[in-house]
Amino acid sequence: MSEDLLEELAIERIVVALDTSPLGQAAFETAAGLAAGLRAELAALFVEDINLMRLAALPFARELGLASAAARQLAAPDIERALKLQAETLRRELAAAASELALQWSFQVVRGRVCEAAIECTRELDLLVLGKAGHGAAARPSWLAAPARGVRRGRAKPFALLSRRPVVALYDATSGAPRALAAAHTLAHVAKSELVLLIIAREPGDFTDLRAHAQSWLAARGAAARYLWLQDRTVSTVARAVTGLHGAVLLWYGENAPDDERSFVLLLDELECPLVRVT
Amino acid sequence: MPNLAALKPEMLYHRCDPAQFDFDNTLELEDLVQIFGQARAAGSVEFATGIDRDGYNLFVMGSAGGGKHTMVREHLASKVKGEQKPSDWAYINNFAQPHKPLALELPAGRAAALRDDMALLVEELRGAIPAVFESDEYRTRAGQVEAEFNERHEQAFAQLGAEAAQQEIALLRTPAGFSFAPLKGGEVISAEEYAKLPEKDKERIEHVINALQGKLENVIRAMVQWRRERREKLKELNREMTLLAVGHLVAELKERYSALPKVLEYLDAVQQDVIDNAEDFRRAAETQPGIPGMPIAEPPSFRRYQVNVLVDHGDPDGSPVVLEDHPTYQNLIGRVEHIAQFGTLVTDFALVKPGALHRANGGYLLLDVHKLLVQPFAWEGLKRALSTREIRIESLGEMYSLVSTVSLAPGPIPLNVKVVLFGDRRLYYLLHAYDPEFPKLFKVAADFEDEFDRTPANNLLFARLVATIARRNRLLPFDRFAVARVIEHGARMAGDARKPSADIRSIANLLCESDYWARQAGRERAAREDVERAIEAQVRRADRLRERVQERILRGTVMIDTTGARAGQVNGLSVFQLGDFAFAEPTRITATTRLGDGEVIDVQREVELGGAIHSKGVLILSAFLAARFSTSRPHSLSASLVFEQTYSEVEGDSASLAELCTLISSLADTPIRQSLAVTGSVNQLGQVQAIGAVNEKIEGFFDVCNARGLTGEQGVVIPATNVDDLMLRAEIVAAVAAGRFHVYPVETVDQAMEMLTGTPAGEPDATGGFLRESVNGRVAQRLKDLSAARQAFVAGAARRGQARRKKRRE
Repeated sequence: MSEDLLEELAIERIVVALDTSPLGQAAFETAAGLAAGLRAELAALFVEDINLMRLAALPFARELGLASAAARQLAAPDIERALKLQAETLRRELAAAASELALQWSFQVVRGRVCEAAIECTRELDLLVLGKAGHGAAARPSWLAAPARGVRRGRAKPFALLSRRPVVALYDATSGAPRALAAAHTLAHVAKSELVLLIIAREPGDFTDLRAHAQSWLAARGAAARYLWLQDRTVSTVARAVTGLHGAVLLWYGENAPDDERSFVLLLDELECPLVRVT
Repeated sequence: MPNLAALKPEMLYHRCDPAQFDFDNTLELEDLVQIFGQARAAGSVEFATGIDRDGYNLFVMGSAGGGKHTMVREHLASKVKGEQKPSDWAYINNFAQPHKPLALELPAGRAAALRDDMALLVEELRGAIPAVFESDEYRTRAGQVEAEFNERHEQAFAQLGAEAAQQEIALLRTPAGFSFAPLKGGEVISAEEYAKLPEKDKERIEHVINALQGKLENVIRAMVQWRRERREKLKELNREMTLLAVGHLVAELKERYSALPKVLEYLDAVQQDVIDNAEDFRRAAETQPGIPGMPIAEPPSFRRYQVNVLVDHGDPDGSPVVLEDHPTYQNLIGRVEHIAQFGTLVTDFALVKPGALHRANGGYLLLDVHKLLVQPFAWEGLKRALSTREIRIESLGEMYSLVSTVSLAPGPIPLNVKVVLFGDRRLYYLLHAYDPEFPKLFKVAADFEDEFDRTPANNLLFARLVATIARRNRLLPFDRFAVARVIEHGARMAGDARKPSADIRSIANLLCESDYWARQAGRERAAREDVERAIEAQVRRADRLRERVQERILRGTVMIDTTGARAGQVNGLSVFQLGDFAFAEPTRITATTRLGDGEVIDVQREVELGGAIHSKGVLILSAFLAARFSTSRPHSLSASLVFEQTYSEVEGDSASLAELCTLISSLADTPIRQSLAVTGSVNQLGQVQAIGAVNEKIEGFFDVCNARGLTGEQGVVIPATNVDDLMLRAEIVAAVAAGRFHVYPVETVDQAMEMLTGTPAGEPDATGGFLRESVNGRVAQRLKDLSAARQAFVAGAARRGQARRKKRRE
């Protein structure tokens, strides 16, 4: 990445919440790729969900095992121990993966509501990466990511999930578009994956103009992309397009960008990939 | 001097007349196609290689260097030239039982092709299968399967979540599963607030949660079934897609091998295995290089598609005539190798290595029997293979529980081979006597002659042999005089002027060395002088000990008289064999005689320095003496015979004539001429019999006499039956021609005694008596005197004994 581009983006941290789910791995790859490409710090966030703590304090709290379907009594100390153990495991794995990719990193454990905590921890010059928990809609999304095992063990290709599928980004005439394009280009470049731009335009002429603009920006950096025309940026339209493209990640900014738990729930429920919120 | 005539010079060296050859040098001669003079052996070889029956393997026996290997190899080479090439063999993976690799027979030249085709197939599959799985079609269809599962999954949870939400209950994910919690204002109710709820509400909540948990339990159980269904659907999709990639590639191969049902069977198994393990190909596409310095070989899963070609007769050198020079068990039968992987020894069918039997299958295997017998288990392994007519590779380590590693039991390969063993006659007869299986498995023996008849036709064939060796070894051509000299040397090597040696290796060595001397002399053709020089140089290189022994004789350390005469002392001749060099030196043999009871003491035997044959000779001569002179009276002689100044074992009976002569000389008190040496064996009738190394013996005595100065009186007495063996050195022939040395052939002991003593031996008269002045007459008189003395002694002793007894009685 050129120094100019890095300065233009001026991104300090990539914030990612950690989990152990498969989609979390894609979220981690996305975050790590961005951190590597943008020379930003990888800030991992492990959120101890306050609702789980409350649940554990209830007298009848019971847990039904996902694999065994067996019911177990649930106590607050059990939950605390489990979360602590999970946090420590993730921290170690993150350290190893970041060391391999020569990333600056930090790991923070917070307690609260996941979405709120993640957003709270995100500063103005940060990118927020969120993935959906592996069990799909079994519960509400946890927006957690898992350090990539392949990267960790140094055997599989880095960014194995990202490189097989395209990086998808929204692009329109708003002021946030160049920053999102630069971030998407960085990620696609680092992961050696295809870049697809979903150009939001009411009229074909607008689409052509925007495409030409993006094309020239990318051409100046020796890159190219595939361009698709979307007439609106409603969550359902974008999600359908990303799913159809088998997108590895979606970069969203500006209008309709999720900034609360509900928005995230809606979008991530529709998407089959992690989401990068570009501020 | 007796009337016996010395041999004429021409009798001492049987020349090969160069005039019999109508060529000038060997360039004019054609190569010898087959070794000559071995008609019997050649017939045996032809018979054994022609007959197609069990057990008609061949044992070729004869002395080393006789051209056994050459003849058999050339015969087989011409035989297999017109024959159909035997099948190729390969080991392939047994997909059902990998530890039992399958042997695959293919027409000659097809095994390597199949191996290459399979390697190409795997290479193509490594690209084609991941490509199929990367295709939009696969992604879409796999996505549909996933989506279906996710829909059911999400729908179930969504319904449950919605049902819970209607009752203000949240479905939460916990670190290890799921749980339900009551909500208040969208948040999970705290314990304190819950405690404040009326009991009725609490009961309701718990009741609802219990009901929801029951439903959740059902959903989770249903999910197991959905996952199984998804796996099956994906598996079926994968199989279908893999078949798309594999099917046409395998079909192409099947078309190519359509005439080979076993290969088709194998290809079907390969196709099935690829379909079952398509994931390996997908993973391989993602695999990165391993740790530097620890190269990871081809992923093990792909090795199973290799074709391990054991024998390929497609190459021009794929001749089925195999010479195994190092016939260890493994080199014969084959082996299963292991490779170390992370400290463990592992193996598979690709590590099965062929043995000589595999390479020779359908053809001929040539082995040296001595080398075979000294290799542990090799002989037994070979016999087992020949008996069962199959090659079964078994690890010796496992057979004897010496090692414990994962190993294989490769399928046996049918064996159809003709084994040709090369060895000496002793081993053949030992095996025949002591190994009951040997006569069943090696029914034909080809017995090579050690010499050939010296006929004009054979001389010409020998000349062609010289030409052939010279050409093959890029030697100078040999002129006919040189060829004649080589033939003469062959006769000398054999110790038989009529039958030159068939030791082709020694002849070839002589030719090479003659070539060297010819080149040193700057000649363009090797001449007789070069052959002479080569022979002299060979002798010179080997005769250090001979010089030392002769030196001791000349200095008098070893006492040998070559002039004068002495009773009871004769010059015998001893041969020393040092490797392939033999020489002889004179040995003094003495005899003493006295009154006794008929015993001849062989001092060599008494001190265990006499061999069995030597002792036999002494017993024969004492029997001769007793039979000739003591038929009617007790043999009242005691005699001692000694090989003077010998310090090692004396063997052979070639000195028995000399021993008998010295004994007779002692008895008759008749001196023996020390200017003569004697060699020959005798029988009980006093006839002189042939001995070996007659040339060396004559030369040995000549050299001593010559060094001291020939007097014209000196010579050697030899058996008349050895005259045809004479091939003496040129200087001896010249000395004989000049009358300065003599060779006397004798047929009887009497002739020898007359020659040695210059006194008539004496013929028996009608009563068996001899003239008093003859040698035999003196011996008879002496024995008579001894007998009388003995009788007198015995009578006196008897009288003295009677007197003593009488005195005691008184």
